[in-house]
Amino acid sequence: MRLCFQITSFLLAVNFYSRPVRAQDPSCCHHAAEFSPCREACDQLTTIKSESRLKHLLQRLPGYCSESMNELWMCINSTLPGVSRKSEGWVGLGCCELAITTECRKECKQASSKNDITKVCKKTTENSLYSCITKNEMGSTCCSYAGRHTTCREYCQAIFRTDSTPTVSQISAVKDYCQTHSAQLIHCVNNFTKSYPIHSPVDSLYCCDRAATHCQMACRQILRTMSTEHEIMEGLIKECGSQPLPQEPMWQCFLSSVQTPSITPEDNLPAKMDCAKLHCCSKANTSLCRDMCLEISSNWGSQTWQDFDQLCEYNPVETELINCLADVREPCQLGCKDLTYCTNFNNRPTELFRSCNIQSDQGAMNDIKLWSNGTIKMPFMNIPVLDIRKCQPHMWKAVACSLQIKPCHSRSRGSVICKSDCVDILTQCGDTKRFHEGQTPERICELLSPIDDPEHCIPLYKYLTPSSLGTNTVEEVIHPCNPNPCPSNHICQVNRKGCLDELNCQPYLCVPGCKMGEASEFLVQQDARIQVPTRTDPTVCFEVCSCGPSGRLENCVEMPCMDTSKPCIVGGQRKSHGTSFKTDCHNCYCFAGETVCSTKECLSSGYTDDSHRHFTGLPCSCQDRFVPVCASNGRTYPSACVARCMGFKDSQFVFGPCHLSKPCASKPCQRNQRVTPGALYSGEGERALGNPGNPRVQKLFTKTVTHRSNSQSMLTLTHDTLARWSSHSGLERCIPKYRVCLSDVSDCPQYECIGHAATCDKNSEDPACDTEGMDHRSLCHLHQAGKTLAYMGRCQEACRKPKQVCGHNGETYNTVCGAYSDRVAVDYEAPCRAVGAVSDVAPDSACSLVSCPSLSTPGCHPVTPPGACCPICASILQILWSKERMNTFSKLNKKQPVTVHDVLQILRPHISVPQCDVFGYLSIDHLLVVIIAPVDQQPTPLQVTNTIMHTYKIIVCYICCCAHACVAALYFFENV
Amino acid sequence: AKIYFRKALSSVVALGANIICNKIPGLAPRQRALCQSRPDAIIIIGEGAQLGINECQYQFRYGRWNCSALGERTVFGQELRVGSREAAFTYAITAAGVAHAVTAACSQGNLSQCGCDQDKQGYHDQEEGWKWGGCSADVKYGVEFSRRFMDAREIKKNARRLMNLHNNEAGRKILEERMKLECKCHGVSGSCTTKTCWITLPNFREIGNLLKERYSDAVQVEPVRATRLRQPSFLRLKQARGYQKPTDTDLVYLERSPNYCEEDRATGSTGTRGRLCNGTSSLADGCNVMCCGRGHNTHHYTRVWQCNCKFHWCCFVKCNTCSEKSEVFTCK
Repeated sequence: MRLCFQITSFLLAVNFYSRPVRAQDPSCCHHAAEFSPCREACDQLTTIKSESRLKHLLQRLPGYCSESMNELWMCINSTLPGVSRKSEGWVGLGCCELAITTECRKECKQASSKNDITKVCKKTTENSLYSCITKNEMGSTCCSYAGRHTTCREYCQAIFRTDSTPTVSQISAVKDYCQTHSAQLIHCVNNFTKSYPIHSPVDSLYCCDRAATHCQMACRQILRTMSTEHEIMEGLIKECGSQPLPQEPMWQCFLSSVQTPSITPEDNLPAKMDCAKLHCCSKANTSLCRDMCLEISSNWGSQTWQDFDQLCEYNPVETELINCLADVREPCQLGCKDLTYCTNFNNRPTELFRSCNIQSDQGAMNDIKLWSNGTIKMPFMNIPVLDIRKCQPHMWKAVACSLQIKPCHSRSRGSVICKSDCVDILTQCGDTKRFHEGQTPERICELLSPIDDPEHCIPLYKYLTPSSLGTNTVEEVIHPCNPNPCPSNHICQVNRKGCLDELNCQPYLCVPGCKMGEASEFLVQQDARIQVPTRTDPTVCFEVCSCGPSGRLENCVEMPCMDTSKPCIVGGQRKSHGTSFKTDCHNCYCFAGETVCSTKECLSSGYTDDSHRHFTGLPCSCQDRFVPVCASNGRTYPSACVARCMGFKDSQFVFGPCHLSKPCASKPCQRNQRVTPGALYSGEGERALGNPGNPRVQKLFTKTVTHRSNSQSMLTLTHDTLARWSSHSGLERCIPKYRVCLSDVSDCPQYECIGHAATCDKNSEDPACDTEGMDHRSLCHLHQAGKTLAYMGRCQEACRKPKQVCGHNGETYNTVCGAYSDRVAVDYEAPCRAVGAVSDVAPDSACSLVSCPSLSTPGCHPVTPPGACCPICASILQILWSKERMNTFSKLNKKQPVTVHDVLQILRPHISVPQCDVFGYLSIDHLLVVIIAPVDQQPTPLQVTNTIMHTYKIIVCYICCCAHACVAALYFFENV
Repeated sequence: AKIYFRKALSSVVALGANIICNKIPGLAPRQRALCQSRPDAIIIIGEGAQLGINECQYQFRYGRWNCSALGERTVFGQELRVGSREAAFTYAITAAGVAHAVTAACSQGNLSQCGCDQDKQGYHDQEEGWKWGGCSADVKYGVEFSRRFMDAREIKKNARRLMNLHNNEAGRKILEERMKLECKCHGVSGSCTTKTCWITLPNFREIGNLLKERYSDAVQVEPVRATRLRQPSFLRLKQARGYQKPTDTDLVYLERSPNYCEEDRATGSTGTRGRLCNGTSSLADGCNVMCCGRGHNTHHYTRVWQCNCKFHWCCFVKCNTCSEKSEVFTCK
């Protein structure tokens, strides 16, 4: 930098001397104000005789006379052509060497102001260049007050010199030399030195622990007593006896605690290695494996890998950890086909496998060849065997194929062969003569596959014969994503949207995803909010990150940590974190010391006929009358009694089902109108269907009596006109969007404000059907056309005519399609008129009024979802959840509420068969009910079995549930 | 549940990056700028340079020159004034050390803006049964970072600059050439049907050994000045006929090394006075060679320790005392 300074002044001098010096015309100085420093300097020019003095002053003239004094400069330039109105080029010139990229450096040298470089020099990377320029700018302003007092000016400039921070002596020198000349200068310099960030050195005391022993004490003393950076720096250098070096721990500590404001948070986030694996580490049984798991998930090194392989990867004690890691690497997939060697594994669409592919098929064949040599090499032992080509060849083939194709047990996810099979085959074919001393088939199998519970291991007999299903199952269920047709970094999803171009419609979609860490192969969907473990012992801490378009996890926010060592005390018994248990008829789950239980009404064990008669199966033993109310969480409850029982105050619900409320009636989307919490209820009297004698309803009626005079169609009309009018005037349009919220830190708005989008994304294809039965390319296109949404997806022939159905959530939908699009399954085909029991033991109820659809599918074990009237052929998952955790996630997500729909959308991609889909609702006793059901009108038995396997898949998918932020607040219990 | 909030990272600290970076000895302006904008990186650079210095000291522990020099200790160790073989070695090993440390920091997730090698991910060779997986060290990033930082040190336009730049590059090149492929087999069944492979950094000792060999074969060069600019523009071998350039991985030097026997301000030699030497060796660490014929001092030590300890019932331990006499030689 200094070098550069010299060169510039040299060039300027050359330029200057090449022209004959003429006397300065004194009249020029009239352009400057009287008694100003500029005028003084200008006047000096006329009197100077010495050439070097003239040159000196000319060089400094820009410091006194601002660039904007055009007349003065034009006048001086005409008489003294060497003079530039820019001092030394421009204030930033001296900083150019600090530029990091060559292009920026070049640009900086040629620039005449800061504006010239902004394009080439990025603020984020050229941080020190910009701070240098700012400093120089301040310097030139401050030091111009020095006028012609060169000593003062020199000292002033020294303060702003780029490569040093002002020292105490420098500051006092300015005071000494400038005090008499310019109070303004002192003030300006003070402002600058003060503007240096005020530090709180005591916060960095921990860095002293890392100092060399001889200066630890001194370091603490210095940080406690000294306040300016400079004093601290000099003190440390003096006491510790060395200049700062970035290889010394103490200086590293100071350097690493510095935050660099220029780096944006996502850039600053160091790459995490493998967050998916990190989730698994908490499953380790031994601390050794937990530590090694943490090591391999955060640090990639061959040594740790080998250790982990040897001690944990195949250690039966670590089954949970191993299964979890296997879920990350090779998640269980439904179905297996197209194998040429392990043919007995083909045509099994309802079984789970981790690795049904050609390589594994080949691998099994290779294994058999290797084993034929007489020894089976396992990672931790060698097993001598007889000639396996003669002794039980079919069994051996099944063993080899099982080890390679890895069927996963539906419940335990393990791929372990049952112990009895292991003992059987080794007793028959083990080469006992070559066994080590003490080696017996039992002992070997105890190590290899200690499990013999058919609930948790893979029995070999299953794979000794071909699948019983034969090959005609292809049409009934297909697995579009197995094998994965998508490029890397893309997630395969079953295409449930359909396409507008039906000829080129693939049954799958490839959507961009994010890897969960640098070395991870586990992908999560874009825009998803993902939990990332940051620490696991003893408290568990997470960050919530989102998957950005860059394909990396970014914008991470820390979450409150949890103490998982804390047990739950239930009825005097200790339950540890992560266990589910039953008390009375309730399912409970212990999460970090907090017990979450279902709240359904229990029938006491010693019940009498009398209590049985009064037992309605509804919360608080409410009567099973159906007088629906809409509560502030967006859920419709069958009666005010139930709503009150679930903790809603009278002000928090209104009569009538939620879907008949008019959330847009209060015009919440108009500009400058803040949406108040009560907005949802202010205009709803017109739909109140409840008891007219109720004073509250009466009040609501009178309040909104003007609205009530309008018929339904009139309302729609006014709504549309309003929408059209608003789109013209640039106002946002209000669209009802019914949702049920699980969090309650913010309101649960039942509408959406849609800005008037000029263009919709042409590439996005997410068909939507409007109320007039017309297809639209996307919801955006539909809104642009000013239509009202009927349901998502292409218009269906079956739904063309309205045929009202009652959903499990207690809402009446115009068509089945509407219900399905809302991810709600159908209870019966009529408007909602009754509520079913939520308890296991239900007496006769109002449901007797309802006629249920017939269940014709053979092999169906019908179940009645809680609160529903009719049984269905499906698999049901009842999930406990914690409102506190939901609120935490909501707070992290800009207070956006977490809704039932959000949760279902996250679970949905895990259903890999297009013939089945996920539905769900919040039950009246606040369990999250997830239904996996066949979507065909006439489901086949195979499809029904498939729903059960998928339910398992959702329960066992530990990673997918733990990773997604809001799903992590759900507690699955085994109740399928 | 009891909730713990992690202590928010305090934004007020004792010292800013600017002031520390300004005081770090031996940095060129652009290096200082980088230090200020990336304080996280300067720590890694420091560690990398130290890695190089330690390796240099290990490699030359028996030599008259033991990788030290007179003068201020900088980030890059004490610098030699003379453009000798030794200077060539120090430049090569620190440049390699920085590249090594940065690459390692990237794959450990300790450095922002870098990670694992993205080119070595996702590829799956179905035929051969292997795929890239895990975290491949992104040596390209490390080398580029080292280039950007270490080469910014050369601000003077002279022959020494060319020599230093060449040796920096040679050190990094050798590191790049020694990257290793590691693979892991999956499954319990013994046949390695699927392998996951990744690239790892070599042990730095290996780089040290290689550079030591290069040091022995270092070539002397001289600058060639381009006619127009009259500045040295490239290097050629001194002994060769015609214009023969050194190869990429050659260490090059401009001047002959001093003998490092005596302390000498002009060359930066610390001399061998007081250095330990081996009384029986006739090699470089032998007292004859090490002390340059000045002779050596002999110090006698007796080491005493407890030995043959036995446990007696009940309850004490009885030990003998063993001793050993040893001699230590230092140069006069």
